[in-house]
Amino acid sequence: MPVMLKYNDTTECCITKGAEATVIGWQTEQGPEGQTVLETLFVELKDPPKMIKIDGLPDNVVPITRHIIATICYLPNDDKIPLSRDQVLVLPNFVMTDYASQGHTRPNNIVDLNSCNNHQSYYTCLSRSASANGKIIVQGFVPKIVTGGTSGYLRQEFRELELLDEITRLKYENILPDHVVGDRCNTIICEFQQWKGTEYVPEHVHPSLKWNPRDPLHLLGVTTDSPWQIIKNNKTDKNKDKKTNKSDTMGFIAAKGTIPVNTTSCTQKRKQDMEEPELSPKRKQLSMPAPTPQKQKLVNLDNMEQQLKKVKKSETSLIQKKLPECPQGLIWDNENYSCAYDSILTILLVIWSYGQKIPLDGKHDLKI
Amino acid sequence: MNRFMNVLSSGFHQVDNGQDTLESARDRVRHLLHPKNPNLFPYGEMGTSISEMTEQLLKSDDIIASS
Repeated sequence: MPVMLKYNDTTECCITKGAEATVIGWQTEQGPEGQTVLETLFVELKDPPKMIKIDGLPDNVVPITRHIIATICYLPNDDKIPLSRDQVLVLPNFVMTDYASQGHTRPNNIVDLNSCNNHQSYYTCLSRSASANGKIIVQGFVPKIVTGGTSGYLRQEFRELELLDEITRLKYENILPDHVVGDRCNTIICEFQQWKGTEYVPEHVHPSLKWNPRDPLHLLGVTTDSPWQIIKNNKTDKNKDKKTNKSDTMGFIAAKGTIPVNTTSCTQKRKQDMEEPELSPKRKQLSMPAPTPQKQKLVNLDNMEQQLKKVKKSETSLIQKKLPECPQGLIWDNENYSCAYDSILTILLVIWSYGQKIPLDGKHDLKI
Repeated sequence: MNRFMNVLSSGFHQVDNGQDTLESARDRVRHLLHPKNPNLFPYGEMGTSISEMTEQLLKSDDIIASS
């Protein structure tokens, strides 16, 4: 049976994680319940980097012993059960995922692309063998995944890589001006774009990546570095840090010196990603005069969205104003425990009071 | 709106008009729920399942749709 080793037992003997082998024998012993359990598995390594010879065993045959793995199971009622598992750490290796196959070479490569979701996965599967000979695709697949063009993000990344490539070439040939410097990709690309202009496209860029005024590569925003800090290994300082972090954030602890992501830059990036040719004509339709009934619908929908947004805004601002007027909650009944009632009724009370006190247009009334 | 919610809503109205307290509005709903299932909605120093209570409070007495 073909198996894959899952643990770096003895790297000198090529018993490494991910190594492939075939089972050729095993030893068993009596378990605590009188059952037969596996003691040692003997496997023959498949194409090891060097010949392995262990006394008393054929060439490239190595023993795999059991490992004890301890774990704690948490039950729904908060009970803990410590468990330990005694197993030989191998997996059946009739097939493997694209993830597991990374770095492997398979002269005979049988692939099932149907369950692969992206082009990276297609690449990993298909590139396991160097030639088309010996490669079999077992069932149909979606060619669009590898022919449907790149996403906005990926295109942007490839374009940036092309620019970095060009910068490296110019630097090597000593024709890069001194002012084009930077200690991170964004900074140096931005400097380069300012020098050459955003429309400059290096010579050997693939046609599908080339940018132009219709499909531009905008000037990259410069990201400023967080300043380096030396953290003192002092207990009192640590405690202080913990306290400030906990109070500032709810569960999320931001690293020291990090800068929050600018939301506008995010939306800009998303816009770039969403640049679909079908979307823009619709947008244009909305601003056209004398709309047809269909267009009228779109305009109305747009107006409604805006009105709803306005209502929501005014609603939240009113709620914020009204909140202090709401009763704070219920007094707990310590004789007949009322915690569950208090929590739900408080929520219902707040919903009810919004419905009562906020005059909405009827359609959006929240009255219970 | 089911009858538990009806009682609760009128309780809220009374609280709003200053004629009652929230605690007694709560207890009225509790008195209705307890006989329905004393194990799920007990009195005394015992907890009550929030999900069961929410289901009882928010479910509808009328059939909304059937298939």
